[in-house]
Amino acid sequence: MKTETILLFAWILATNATEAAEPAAHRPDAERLAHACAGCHGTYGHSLPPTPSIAGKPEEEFLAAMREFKSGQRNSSAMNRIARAYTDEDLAVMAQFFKKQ
Amino acid sequence: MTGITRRTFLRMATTTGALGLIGCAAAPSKTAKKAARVVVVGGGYGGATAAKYLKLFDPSLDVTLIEKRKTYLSCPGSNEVLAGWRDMDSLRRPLEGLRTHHGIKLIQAKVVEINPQKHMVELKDGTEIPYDRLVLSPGVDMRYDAIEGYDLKASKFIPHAWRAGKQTTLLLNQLKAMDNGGVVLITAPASPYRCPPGPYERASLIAHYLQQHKPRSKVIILDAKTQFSKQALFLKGWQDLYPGMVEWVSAEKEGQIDHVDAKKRIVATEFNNHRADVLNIIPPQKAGWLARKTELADHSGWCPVEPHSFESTQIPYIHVIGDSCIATPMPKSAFSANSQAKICAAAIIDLLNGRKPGPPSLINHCYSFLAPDYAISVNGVYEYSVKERQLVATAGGDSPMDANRAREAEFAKSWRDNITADTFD
Repeated sequence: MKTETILLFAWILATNATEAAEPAAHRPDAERLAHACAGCHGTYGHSLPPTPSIAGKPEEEFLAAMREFKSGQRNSSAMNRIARAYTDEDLAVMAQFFKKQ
Repeated sequence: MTGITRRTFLRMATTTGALGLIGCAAAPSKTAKKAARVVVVGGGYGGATAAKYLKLFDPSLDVTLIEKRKTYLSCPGSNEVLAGWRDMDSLRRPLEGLRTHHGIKLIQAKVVEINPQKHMVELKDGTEIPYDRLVLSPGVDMRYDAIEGYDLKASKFIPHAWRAGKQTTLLLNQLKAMDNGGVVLITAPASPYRCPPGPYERASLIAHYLQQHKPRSKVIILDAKTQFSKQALFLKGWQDLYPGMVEWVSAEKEGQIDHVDAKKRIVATEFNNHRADVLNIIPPQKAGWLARKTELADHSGWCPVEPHSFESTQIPYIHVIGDSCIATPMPKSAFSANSQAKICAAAIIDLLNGRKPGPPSLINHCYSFLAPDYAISVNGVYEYSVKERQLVATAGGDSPMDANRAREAEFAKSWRDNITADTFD
């Protein structure tokens, strides 16, 4: 097998992988979802009080809060309206992003 | 790749997986590549955020931020100067932190020309600055041809105060000089314009000042619209806080402004003449001068952009963010500009590396003060709709009628601290 053949083979693999990943790509990625929050919650989620900091928040805590805001179980003057925009998949990605900060 | 033999490939493919190898091979070699140059013009909420996040996303980028003023003055907060509880100094937003914390090159100069063919920005002193990607965040200009009798000359004594600075001080001084029992008349433009709830926050905060110092006075808003942002919350707030002091006049009642007699401080509508003791004309607006001069604006006066990248649909390699761009249904606000800047920055990183920018996610969240311990808010979350081929709001709205207004005021103050830090530090 010549190098060109290998490259072609690898290119096909890569192309197929991109196509396979297509459905996930319909949702915004972690960075695009999470950095929008920083306007209120600070860069990478490190906020100045009294706005709660979300950097380093355990995933489960983040997800529970967002689910409660979404359902209206928990009241916030701002977050009830915002939480409803995100799918479960979006929230999972954001939870992972902020956990790491 | 040239040095890789079949055996090496197979070994790597089996140990890391072929995709892992492709991932490595496809990544640009950072040492060999010259740093890409991104120039940002406009040091407000949009431009400063774009410059900062470009560097956060890729510290190797060569990022230059050009702002003509020595210090940018924040429009959010400027209505509070009129209320009397904030001074002009507190609106200053120094850009120095962007240089010291993030390594952004700062240039204080006016850009006089953009050459999209040569990829060059020209400063007033003749200096030419090359770019691979250019981001413009030039804010708004007033339409001095939109209202008969209200031009640039008239604005020197009849303030619009829709850009923070001398105009804010002019309006403040006129309010201070007005007699008790006077009428403050504000004209609000048709949409779109900078800060949709701004005229109504202003009316509230002027009423706050008048209630304390000139309680027999009144504030009247002559509106070119028949409804406005956070309307129910504002109407309730005026009733609760300033009964009988604030009057909103819908376009339905008075029609449009026919002309303004600036010297006599009279606004003539289709049906009546309104005389004011202090007159504040907020005229219709358009994209900032530099964007229009570069022919980035369309017939509407605003700049059409592609929502995944905020790249101009008129001229490639130039991105327009903030008040100047068309990002319907996002309102023209500091928060929108901050959010758009991050999407634009992420897209520029993608484009510089040969990737197609992914779907955007944006937020707007804005507070309006009605009194020091009374605020209301509006927000929205936006994403791209493939079907509608534009941004759409997927959630959001006004804060509830029964929300704790003092608590919202606390968050409004916190909002200011946090967006300032996220944008300028």
